Amino acid sequence: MTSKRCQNTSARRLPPKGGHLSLIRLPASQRAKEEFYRALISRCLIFAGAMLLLAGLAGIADDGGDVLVGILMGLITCVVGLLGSWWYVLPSSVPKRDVFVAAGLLWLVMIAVSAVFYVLSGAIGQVDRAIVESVAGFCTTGFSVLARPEDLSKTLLFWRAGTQWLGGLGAISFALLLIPMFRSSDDSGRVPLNASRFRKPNGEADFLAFLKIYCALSVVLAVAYAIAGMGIFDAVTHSGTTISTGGFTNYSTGFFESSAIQWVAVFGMFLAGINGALLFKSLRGSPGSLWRSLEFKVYVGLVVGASGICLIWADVAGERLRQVLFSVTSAISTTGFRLVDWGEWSVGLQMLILLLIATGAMVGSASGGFQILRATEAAHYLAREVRGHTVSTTHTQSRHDFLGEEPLAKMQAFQFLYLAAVGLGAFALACFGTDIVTSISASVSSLATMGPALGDLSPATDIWQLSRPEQAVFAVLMFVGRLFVYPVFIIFGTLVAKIRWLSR
Amino acid sequence: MIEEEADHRSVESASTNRAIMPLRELMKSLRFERRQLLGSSKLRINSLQMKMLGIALLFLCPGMLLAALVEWWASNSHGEVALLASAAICGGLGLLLWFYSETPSEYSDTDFSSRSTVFATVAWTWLICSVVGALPYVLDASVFGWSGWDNALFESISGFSCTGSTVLADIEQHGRGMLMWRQITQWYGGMGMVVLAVSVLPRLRVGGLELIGAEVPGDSDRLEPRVKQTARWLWYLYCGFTAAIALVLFVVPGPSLYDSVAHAFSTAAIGGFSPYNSSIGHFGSVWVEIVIALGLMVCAINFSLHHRAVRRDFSGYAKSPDLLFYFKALGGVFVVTWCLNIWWGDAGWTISLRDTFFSVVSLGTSGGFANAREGGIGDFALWVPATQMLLLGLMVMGGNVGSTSGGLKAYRARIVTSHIWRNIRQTLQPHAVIPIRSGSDIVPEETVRRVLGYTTLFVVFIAAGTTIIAALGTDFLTSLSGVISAMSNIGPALGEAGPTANFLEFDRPARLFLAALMLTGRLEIVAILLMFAPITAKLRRS
Repeated sequence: MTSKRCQNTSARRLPPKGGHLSLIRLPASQRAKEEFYRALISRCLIFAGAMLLLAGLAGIADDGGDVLVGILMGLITCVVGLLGSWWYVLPSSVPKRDVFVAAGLLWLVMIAVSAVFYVLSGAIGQVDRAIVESVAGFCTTGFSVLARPEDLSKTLLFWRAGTQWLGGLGAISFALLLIPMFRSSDDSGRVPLNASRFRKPNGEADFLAFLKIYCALSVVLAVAYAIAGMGIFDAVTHSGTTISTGGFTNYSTGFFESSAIQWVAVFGMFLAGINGALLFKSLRGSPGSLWRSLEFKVYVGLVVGASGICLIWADVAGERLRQVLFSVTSAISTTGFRLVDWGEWSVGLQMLILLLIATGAMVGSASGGFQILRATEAAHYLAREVRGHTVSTTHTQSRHDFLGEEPLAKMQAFQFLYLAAVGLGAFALACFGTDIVTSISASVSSLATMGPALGDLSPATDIWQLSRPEQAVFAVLMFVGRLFVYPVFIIFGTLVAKIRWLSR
Repeated sequence: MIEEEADHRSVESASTNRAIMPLRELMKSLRFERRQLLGSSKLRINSLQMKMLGIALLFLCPGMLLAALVEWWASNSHGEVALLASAAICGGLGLLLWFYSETPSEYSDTDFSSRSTVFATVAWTWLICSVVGALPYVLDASVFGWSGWDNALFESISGFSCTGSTVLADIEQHGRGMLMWRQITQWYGGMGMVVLAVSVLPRLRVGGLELIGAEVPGDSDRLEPRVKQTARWLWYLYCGFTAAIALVLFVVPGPSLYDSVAHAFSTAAIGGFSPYNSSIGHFGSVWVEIVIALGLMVCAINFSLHHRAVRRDFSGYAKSPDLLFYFKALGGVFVVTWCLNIWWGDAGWTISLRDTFFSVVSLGTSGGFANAREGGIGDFALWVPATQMLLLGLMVMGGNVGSTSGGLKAYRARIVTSHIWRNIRQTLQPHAVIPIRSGSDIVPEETVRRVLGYTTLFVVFIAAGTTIIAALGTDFLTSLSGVISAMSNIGPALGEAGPTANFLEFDRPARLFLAALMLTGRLEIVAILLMFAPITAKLRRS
């Protein structure tokens, strides 16, 4: 009896094991939660600090003021991050919603660091524009508020590319962390962290091992760019923005001039659209796993099919295969590199490009959008629903019941949330007088973290031509899109719950 | 009891036998032929479906005759011959089918036991009625003629599906009877020919409610214990509303009898056709606009609520969560749009109020009337983008289930919204079980799943349709709004095909595709998808 009571009391002192109805009211869990946020953010700050230091070193030959700012900020960030990660312990598992909130906070902190750097180095004078540029960076979107990036110093250019590289890494980790949530009926509502071990659909992947592969791919791509004829600095920065499906370039126009560079970019963008876990597995000795995946087949099919349609279409016949492939891979991987202005293509092809942007590449990649796995699952689901009407009984056996009903319902909710976000974003843009085509397509595109869209935001243009309130709307949309929509609403819900609790 | 029925039936069949003996003989020989040809094969088409189609066609006849009468009376053109000829063809075909199909005593219970058969029957009935309904336009060379068969089909499908998009360049130059036939097609389409047929079919043991459910939008309620009574009640209410609207239009604001009746037809059906180029703007009267807007709103409410009101139970209106959601959405969009129109537009607040109210109601109920006129802002294709975004949202939502309106329906929009909120809350509280409620009732998960599936299908159709229409050479906004307008059975779109323009803006293949989308939207997608299911199933079995 006594021992039982002891157990009970000790259990009460431990951090809670399940998602709690009233997590906010428990001070212990509150503390645990905040410790988790700080632990995660400080670990990630080390990355940001290292990147800032690298950026400072990259431009050291230029001898500009921003080199000093970069190195100093890098050192400070590194020290803060190291101190934090020494002080705060990462728990073994956390409630799901805490991961959402942590991701949101993490991105906000990163954006803040970057914006401070832009402002201090004098690259971008206005705070709001600096924030938009940072959001575009960490959200791997190909929008820029800078009309002429080539005027920037090497430090700043390296940092711009670095933000995208970090953003891509963060997005993949976040996606790999969350895929089990969307896929299995995991009722504990907790995400296992297991000292930096990440779970993925087909087993376990070490985060550090994954990081190695991400770095290795970047290096390979940089070498390929260099061989194709780029300078070393451009090759490194562009490989960073390619592998993360970012889309920043160092030049305002006419960068991908040589055909070899374009082919390397096509290859890199295609690679960046592949599921990180699958890529990991196929590079770690099981190459067949890539071909066994339905999602990968659909991905290849979409790229080939869309390019075929674009080539067959009369008025683009003038474009070469390379240029079409470039545009298609740029759209489906939501990278946002600009080579051809598809604003001059026929409306049908523009619509096709928009659909590709909305679909996005594979789940678990740095690309945004709805993502192919969800699209295929939605297609299976629809087929089942229609088939369900042909028989008298309403209960039907599904051939694709590996998902289970609950994750399906979650996916449906995600899908409508995504639509709602597109609608709200388009309405917000339209309120500033943007025409409907541009509003809808730009809303889709920035939610997919793509960048260029249709109408007034076709690849020939960029957001630096828009007014500052419109840029702010884009910043919000990119942020929502990068966090895969759902978490933002979760954060919103948490805030509402908190306000309700405070006002009680 | 059973014997009594059997006796009754034999007496009935004997009397009919005597009356139409020669025809019956002919039929018998025909049937012999048919048995020789198809009888033993699995391809034989279900006879009850034929009977249903026959009845539906027979019901079209009086409409055509009425239109012919109007045409002859007005004598501003000579379309009565075409209308009479089509009435003859339609009637002949209907009679043939009625007699060709087997007698009621041979009905088998399995006729409508398969749901795919039900859906396919409804879809084919609609398609064939639309084709027959296009006959007057084709037979009268001054309307479309044979060369404009696709336009005629578009106009007819737009009528029957209560869409209200038109490809007539100058509406007013055509005969009044022909224009009346357009209105009448909408009126037939509003409640649906199948419901009409079910109300008179002698007996239907299985599948009656499913037939109504396949045609009347949304999950149909059983108004009365008997399906036939349900179907009849739906039509009584519908006729009542039509008559009331016609009367009020005629008495209060003062259009002519012809105009009142014509607009009552398309208002009760929430169609949107008008015999005038400028639609309701032709009258320039605020009273006409108010009456029509109110008529649209009343007919966009679930008819089962009206049925309860007829039984003096008015609590349904107040308690229905869908209705509350619907009017909240409509009111919210109206207020925001009105403010935006005052803010951005040049018109004063009264004119903004009037035109915004009418346009929002007209699009929000899936009606599609326009009141564009000099000095007003009724042409919503010219409004600022933000208001147009809101209008697009309303156009997708449409009216309520069990009404004559189109679109996704408020009920589904509400369930989808609740589902999203439920998922967010479940992430915050992983162990919570949160049911979706409809008033005090819990909506079954099966229903939620169906609603989510249907909504996804709807969105997929809009996206795919927009891509196809854009590929056929229309600009993005016109394609998107045109497809939404067709799927939700609204009528006018935005962009090039706004309320003052017509659907000739689209290419010929695009128009046919839009017509297909109208039928798809009116029959809520599944029926069209399963159109060929029974035939392919039979082929596979044989």
